Formats: sequence, C-alpha cells, structure tokens
Amino acid sequence: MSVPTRALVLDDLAASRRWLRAALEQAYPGIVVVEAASLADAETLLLPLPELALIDLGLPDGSGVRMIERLCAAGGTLCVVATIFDDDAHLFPALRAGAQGYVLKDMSQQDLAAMLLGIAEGQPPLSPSIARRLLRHFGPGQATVTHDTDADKLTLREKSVLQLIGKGLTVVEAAGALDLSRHTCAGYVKDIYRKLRVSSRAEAALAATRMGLVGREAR
Amino acid sequence: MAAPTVADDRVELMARAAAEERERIYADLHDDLGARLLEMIYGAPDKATADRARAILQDLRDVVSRSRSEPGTLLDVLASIRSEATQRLSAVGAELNWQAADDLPDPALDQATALHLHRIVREAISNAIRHARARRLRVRVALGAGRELMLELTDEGGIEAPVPEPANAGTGVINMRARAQALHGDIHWTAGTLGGTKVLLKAPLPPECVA
Repeated sequence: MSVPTRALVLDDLAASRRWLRAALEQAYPGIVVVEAASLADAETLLLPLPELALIDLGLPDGSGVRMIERLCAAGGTLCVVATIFDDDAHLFPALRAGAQGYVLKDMSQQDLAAMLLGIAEGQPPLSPSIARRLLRHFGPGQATVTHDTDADKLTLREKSVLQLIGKGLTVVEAAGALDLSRHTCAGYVKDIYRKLRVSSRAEAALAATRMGLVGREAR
Repeated sequence: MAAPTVADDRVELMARAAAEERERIYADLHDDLGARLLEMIYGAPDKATADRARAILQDLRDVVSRSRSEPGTLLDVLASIRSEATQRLSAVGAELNWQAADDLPDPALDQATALHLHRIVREAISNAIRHARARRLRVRVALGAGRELMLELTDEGGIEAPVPEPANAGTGVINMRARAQALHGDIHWTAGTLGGTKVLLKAPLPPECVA
C-alpha cells in the first residue's frame, strides 16, 4: 500500500483516540487523522474514504465489526482492529469481516507505529491462539463445507506456518525453521488472512442458500 | 433421535442466559476496568509503572478470554505464555531468551492449570522488571526425571535482586507459592549464576491422552 494520507480512528475512549492518533502521526508524518467515538459519528466522516482505519470493537452504538464490513465493502480502506482483548473469540469475527490486522491499545506508541507500518507493508501480526483458531477454521471438517475452488484452502506451506506460530514461534523464527525469507513467510500470513475472508464470504453465501434466502442463480 | 423435551429447552435457555450474563460482565469489565488501566498506562511516568498496569490488564484478559475459550494442551499454553512474555519484555526494552526442550509431552491441561502457569510466569516477569530491571530474561522449559514439568526463569538483572525469603515474602511471592501448591508442585528461588534471580517451578503433568 502507498503511504496513507488520511486515517480514521474509531474508539469511544478519548485517551485511546489521542494515543492512537499520536502513533499514526509517528508512523506517517503529516497524515490527516479524523476521530469518531461511535459508529454514527464515523459514518459522517467517510467522505473521502480513509486509506487506513483503526477500529475498536466495543462501541456504544454497536460492534466495530460493522464498520469493518462497511469499509471493506466500499473497498480501498486498510482496516486494523485496535483492541484491549486480543483473544481469538474477539478478533476472529473482525478478521473474517476483512480486518487486515490488529494492534493492542496498551502498546507503546513506538511499538504501535512499528506494527502499523508492518501491517501496511503486508506483515500482519498473528498470535498463537489466532493461528490455532485459523488451523481449526481451515481444518478437515471445514474443507468439505466450502466449494469447488481452491481460493480458500490453505497450501501445505501456509499450514506449516500456522502450525509453527501456533506453537509460539514468531514469524521470523517460523521463516527460519521452514528455510524461507522473512518476507516470504509474512506473505503467507497475509495470504492466509485473505483466504479467511474469501472462505467467510463463501460460507455466508452457502448458509444463505441453505436457508433459502438466495437462489442458485443468484450465486 | 428423540424430540426435544421441556428439560432440554430449559437447559438451553439456562445456557443462553449464562452466556448473555457473561457477555454483560465482559462489556462492563471492558468499558470500566479496561479503560482505566489504559489511562494508567498512557499516563505512566516510566516504563516500569506502565508495565505494572499492563500486568493487571493481562490478568483481566485471562478473566475475560481464557475463561471462555477451550483450555489448550501444554504446548498451546506455553505458546501463549511465550507470546505474552515477548510482548511485555519488549515494551520495557528487555529481551526474552526462550529455551524449550524438544521432548516435551503435550497433554491437555484444564482451565485452572493453564491459568496457574500463566500467572506464575507473569508474576516472575513482573518481579524481574520491577526489582531487577532485567534487560534479559531466560526461560527454560524441560521435563524432569520424574516426567514433571520444570520451568525455570532467570533474570539477567541489571542490579542484584534479593532472593525472597519466606519471612519477608511479598504478596506476589505468596501467590506464586499458592499456585505452585495448587499444581501439586513446588517453587524455589535461588541466586542465578550470572547475578540475577532464578525461579524454578516443578509440577507434575497430567498423563498424555493416547490419540
């Protein structure tokens, strides 16, 4: 992604908005940051669409996942979750909706800035618990539920990367263990996130068909 | 299969009510405690103070998330412990040297065991950061002669930290002992060969299920 010039910070806590803004300004000097405390506020700030959005999940008027869906449907915005809780139960719905990474709000501004630069360069973070959740998602039971293309299935390499990260290795260590460059390994992680989105959309379409909401021709 | 009975419906209703209650408590914790802890971290005068608030936030994460996710195996739990330790140490500019043996078994752990292990390591890291201002922490995980878990944490401290004695043990140390006991294991503090403090936890492991 090219250097973002406009970013949205959506968080109901004023102190967090200030902290995230400072991290954004550190990562991208000169960036224009607009702040919103609720989904409704954010809705009024989407013209023009921000290139980057930091989104908290628990907002007073609903889940931040809705804004991630909204921005991903519009296209062009890199959505990053900014959260206190980084467990898979909280993050997985946001990743499925199209978030391309997450940061923890208690990180130092330097660490946040470094993470944001990494995500924008295609190096999304991946914790062990999320790696294991991804393995279960793409595991045997799921493969049969989803369809005919391979766009949402993991390759052996991608699976190995997830297994190593699930056992506590960092992306760099996993790259070393698999004799890959750091860059290639990060690329696999990015592809896995993309496949998660593809498979989630396919699953949603399949569920809709099963419930009789969509006819075959509409797929 | 038999049609759902009134009792089944009742069980389902109760399960749903419990889940909703949990969500409500989670939302309260998030809004209230989480926000206050973040403000403490943002306003902290130094890295060590910010770390103390981060450790409490981590306890909160345990309550909120680990209590509702499925408990993992030993290797899963060690992976989470390692990832948390890396993050915390990096925030204070320190380094983690993680050495795990290759022959570790991978038994399923229950929720309580996983939580005790997390909290013992978290407390040891807090001490290393707070008292020793460690620049580097070495964690060794191995299997003992009696197939028990041996978890050793050594801070390569900037200043020499006192080895805690039972008589003047702080609440952190008392909690670590209590958790080691709950694991039917024991925990010892010694002076490390390189000057820091060494914490050694030994705890029996549940038998590994044959898949």
